Amino acid sequence: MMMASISTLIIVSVAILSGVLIAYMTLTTTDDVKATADQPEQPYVKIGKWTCPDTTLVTVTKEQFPPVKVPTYIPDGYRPIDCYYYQGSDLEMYFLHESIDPNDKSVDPAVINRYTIKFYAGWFGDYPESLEVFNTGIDEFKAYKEHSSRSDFIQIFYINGNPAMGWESGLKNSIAILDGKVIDSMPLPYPATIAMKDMDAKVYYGVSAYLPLDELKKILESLEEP
Amino acid sequence: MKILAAAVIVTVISGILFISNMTHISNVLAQNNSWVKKYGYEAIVPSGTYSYLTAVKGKIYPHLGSAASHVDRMVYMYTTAPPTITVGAGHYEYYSNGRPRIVYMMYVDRGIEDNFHYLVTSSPSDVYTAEVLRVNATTFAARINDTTIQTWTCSDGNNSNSPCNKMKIFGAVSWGTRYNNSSFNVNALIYDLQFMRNTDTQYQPYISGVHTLIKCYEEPADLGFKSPRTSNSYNQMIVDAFNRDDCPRSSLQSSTEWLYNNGNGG
Repeated sequence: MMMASISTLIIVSVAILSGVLIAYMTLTTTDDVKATADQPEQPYVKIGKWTCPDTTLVTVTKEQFPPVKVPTYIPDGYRPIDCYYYQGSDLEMYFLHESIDPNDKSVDPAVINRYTIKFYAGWFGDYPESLEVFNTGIDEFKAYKEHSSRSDFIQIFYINGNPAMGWESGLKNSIAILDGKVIDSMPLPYPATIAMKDMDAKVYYGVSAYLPLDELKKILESLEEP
Repeated sequence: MKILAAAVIVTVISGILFISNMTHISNVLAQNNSWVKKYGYEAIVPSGTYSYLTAVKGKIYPHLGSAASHVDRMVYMYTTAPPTITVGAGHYEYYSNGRPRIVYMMYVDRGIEDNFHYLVTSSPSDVYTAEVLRVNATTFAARINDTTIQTWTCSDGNNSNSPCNKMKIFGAVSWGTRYNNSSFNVNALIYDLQFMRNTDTQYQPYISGVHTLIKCYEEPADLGFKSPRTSNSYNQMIVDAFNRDDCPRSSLQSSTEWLYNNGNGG
């Protein structure tokens, strides 16, 4: 009898809490709708499988989409919040974790940075000077690794047959030098990063985020025509 | 009993997920105990077809009183193809022996490498022109009032001569950092932005609405960022001493100290 009473009490409590929660969510959602009703309608741009806020109004200016591929895989919990392309050559897409509100200005920018995946694709076209570096293929990455002060952290590899270079996230230094002397040095986090070249299409891809390097590889392995 | 069990399981799982999420966010916050503020144009893409930028310049007012650990105020250009490179010219504000100081600076940040503020002992006392030039495929120069203060190659320090990736974006920014406190001021006072593409023979003015402005930081809101400005369709960024309507002195924080015009500002 006592057990049944406790069970009934718990069930009723859960029901009441659920009701309060649903009511709260309904009210806040209604407020959000009212608030956004006063704002200009947010345009969106469709890029591959992603529907993204059109932050630079490429759909209005009829910007030419570059000849690049876009990811079909992004880790769970991330959604596109900022995407744009320009000059028919460059595409940038930003994915932010759902736990962060991009419009909340009280959030430390460093925290937003921590939860952002940045994807870049740039078509190098037919510009001789730009292609001079690009056409060196994996040698560019080997040279960077060879001369880097953090050479041990840099990995050279291939993704779907394309030369690539990458590193896990870590800490570097922000250094101020005056008259040859270091007057200030502070630690600065850097994200895991991969640079990859599609040699045939002359496209330079990049992805960076505070995620394991293997996750970034999956993103670049998933590239498809939009 | 089955309903009770299901309710308990759902409640427990929700609690675990909630606590897990909050713990994750707390950990991230704990790792980032420095605050960063940024006012200015972060990313401008000139219109037209071109391969890369060759130069960017702008006029910058120095000021003190930001109470930040340091402030970088500069014009700069960068490439988004990793390893990303940012090269800037301007000045650096900091405190030494309890006294605020301002010195000219070349700023360089590349990929996984440390970033460097190359400072020179001379200081601005009034508005000055800061300029970043791509001298050739491997070398950049920072110039102040038409005088080179520092050069940098993409492979500085390693005796290599590898070319740099193209830079297609530029910006002008006042970027400050401070530990453990979000309340500080790094108002940007930069105007007359100009750029040069590899296809140009002379500088082109940045004109709002003509060139693509991808990101703009504009806090506090009344700092002269209203775009486009009707009385002057370009260079609307910022506090122009001759267009005070865009940025009333009263909207600046009281901690600002003006160095030019005998401390009275423009």
